[in-house]
Amino acid sequence: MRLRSKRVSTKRRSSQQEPIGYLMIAPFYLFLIFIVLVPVVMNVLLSLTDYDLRSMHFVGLRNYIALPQDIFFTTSVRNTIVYTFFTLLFSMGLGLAFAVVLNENIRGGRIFRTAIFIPFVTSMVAVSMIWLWIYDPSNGILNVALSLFGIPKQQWLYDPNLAMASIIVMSIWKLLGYNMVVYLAGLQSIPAYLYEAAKIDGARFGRVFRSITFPLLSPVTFFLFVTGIISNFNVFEQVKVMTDGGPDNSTTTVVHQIYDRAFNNFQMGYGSAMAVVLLIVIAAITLVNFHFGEKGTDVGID
Amino acid sequence: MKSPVRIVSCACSILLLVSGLSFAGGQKESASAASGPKPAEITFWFPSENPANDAYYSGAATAFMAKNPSIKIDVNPIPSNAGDIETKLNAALLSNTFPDVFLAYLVFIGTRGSRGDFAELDSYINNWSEKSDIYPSSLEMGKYKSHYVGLGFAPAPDILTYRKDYFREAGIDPNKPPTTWEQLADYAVRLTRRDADGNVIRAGFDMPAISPALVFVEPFFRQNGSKVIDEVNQVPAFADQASIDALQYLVDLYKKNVSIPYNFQKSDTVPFMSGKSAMSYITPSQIASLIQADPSVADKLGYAPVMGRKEKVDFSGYRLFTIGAKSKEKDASWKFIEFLMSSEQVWKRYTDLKIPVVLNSLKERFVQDNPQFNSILVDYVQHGKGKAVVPWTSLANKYMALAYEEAINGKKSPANALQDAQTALEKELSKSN
Repeated sequence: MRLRSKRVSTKRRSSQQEPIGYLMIAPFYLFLIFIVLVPVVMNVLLSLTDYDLRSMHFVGLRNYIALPQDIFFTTSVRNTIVYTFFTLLFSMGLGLAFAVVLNENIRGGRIFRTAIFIPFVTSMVAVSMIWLWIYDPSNGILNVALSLFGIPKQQWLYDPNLAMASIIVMSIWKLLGYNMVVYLAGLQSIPAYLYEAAKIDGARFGRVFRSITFPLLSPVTFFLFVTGIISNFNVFEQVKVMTDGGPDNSTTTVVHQIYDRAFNNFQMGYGSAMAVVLLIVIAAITLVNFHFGEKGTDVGID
Repeated sequence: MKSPVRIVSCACSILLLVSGLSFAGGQKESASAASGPKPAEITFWFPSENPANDAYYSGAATAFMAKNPSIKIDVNPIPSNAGDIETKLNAALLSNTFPDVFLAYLVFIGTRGSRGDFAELDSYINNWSEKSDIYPSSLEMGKYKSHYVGLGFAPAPDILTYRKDYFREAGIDPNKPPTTWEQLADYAVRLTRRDADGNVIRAGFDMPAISPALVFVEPFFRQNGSKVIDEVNQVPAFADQASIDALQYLVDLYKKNVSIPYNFQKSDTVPFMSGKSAMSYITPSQIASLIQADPSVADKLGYAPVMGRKEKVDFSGYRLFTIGAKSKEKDASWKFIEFLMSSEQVWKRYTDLKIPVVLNSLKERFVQDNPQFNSILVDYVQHGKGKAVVPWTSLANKYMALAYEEAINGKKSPANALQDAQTALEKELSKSN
């Protein structure tokens, strides 16, 4: 009898606590539903219409069928892939390199760390404006610096062959600090005795990096890769401010085309279709990353 | 028990907070109700082109409110780039904050007038006492399918402006500006200054590397006899031989490296505005801004007449006053527009912003005030053609801009670039019909 009453009173206590618990997490779920999930569903529904901010008619998959024939969209997909590849590769690679160097107890390490991180916390629009000035063909500091070494002035953002590279360089400069800081945190979690053991065994820096540092950083690398893919596929601000997709469509990206179609050409339905395709592509890449990437992140130390 | 007490006390606190806010709101409402009828509040949006432009419109709103205390105007300068304006207006449409009075570009009469964003002004204009004084062309500019949706007040021509001092340096008579394409190309080469490495340090003629609205390119097409967009049949017409030849001329000139690249839509990047080029197509508002920044430059500026080849035509946009279709204060909005169209304000716009007058009663005074500049202005306004008034102008701009950039960057020949662009545009238009 005593046991039963104890069980009943425990049950009564937990059921009384439940409402409070649900109340506490309700704001987050309401936010998730109304700010995240509902717009996604609305976007999918809009993509099946010809909504132009005034009238709406169901058009089925017409918007999706038109996408492969749209030269602006196909160019933007290519540009986005190129942008993502190079930005991710160099921002992660250089971030790791800087982290490894700054992980040593070098003089002025904190100052360097802060200086490299500052661009990341600066507004992208402000940074884009500064780099517009740096890349100015006639007075820009970059051309002035190059001319000191006898290198001819370049058109940078006005040259279709250089415009995307110019934006990539700026983006790498901005993202480097974040990757460095995350890698630093990862490096500092690697047990010191592993390095001591390697030192005793006479392992050189390259071997230590290959056998200890890099494998133990794989969870961090995986995290940065997944989040980097998602954020770089959504590149927009710097393209809009610096080049507006030009010259000659060389810098337009998928999100830039979504913006242009939806807000400049009154094709909200078509823009929504592009957004759905972008969502599917990013989701697919992320799932692939999780499937293959997570296998290598279990690097337990025995 | 603690939990119910906590819930009850939280609920009571929320209830108290909500009651307090409602009470305060009620007090404010009753206070304002006690003080008399609320003034009509209207919002006024205008493109912020430069400080002189902003100062005029803000000042005009203040002067109107002083004369009409029952109307309050919330003045809101917005970006002047047509693409940015579209974004702001679309956001306003979706959030139900479309402005009551909006200073529109001519292109918006097609893109938005056709979509019912602007109120019809037929009853206001037809009953307007000053209607007979306004230029008929200004009235016609604001029509979409025979209904007035805007009131034209400012022809906005792009005038070929040049620096007389640079002309003298290059050994060119400063009183003989270019009047033909051949002369323009010849002068551009002679006026270009380069450094030891061959880089252009002062352009002979401003040629944009990026021109999304085609304001720079279209006049050359039209001068060579192209319609660019056939407004009667509502079809694109920019892949004809006239357009191809015109684009070939521009490509050949671009290859002569007579310009510093810039974005035509970003007025702060125009080299002429910072003294870095000898000739450029700029608006009267930009001219006014140049002179305001440096009054000594006024005597150094010269203005070329409208060029012709097969047709004597240049780009002359228009600015129009419009009223939002969903405005709740249309009468107050129209009263503000009437004020802005008074002789006093039309003349003030001329003196402050160099905007040509559109009232017959001011025409003579206008020409006599500055015969040299104003006769040129009249020339550009009379021979000017703005953007086509069709619902798909922004789409046409997108494809034509691509063709222009492909051609000047050598990616395609002018013929292929224009033909591909027109074919793609026609295909897209046929799908949406």
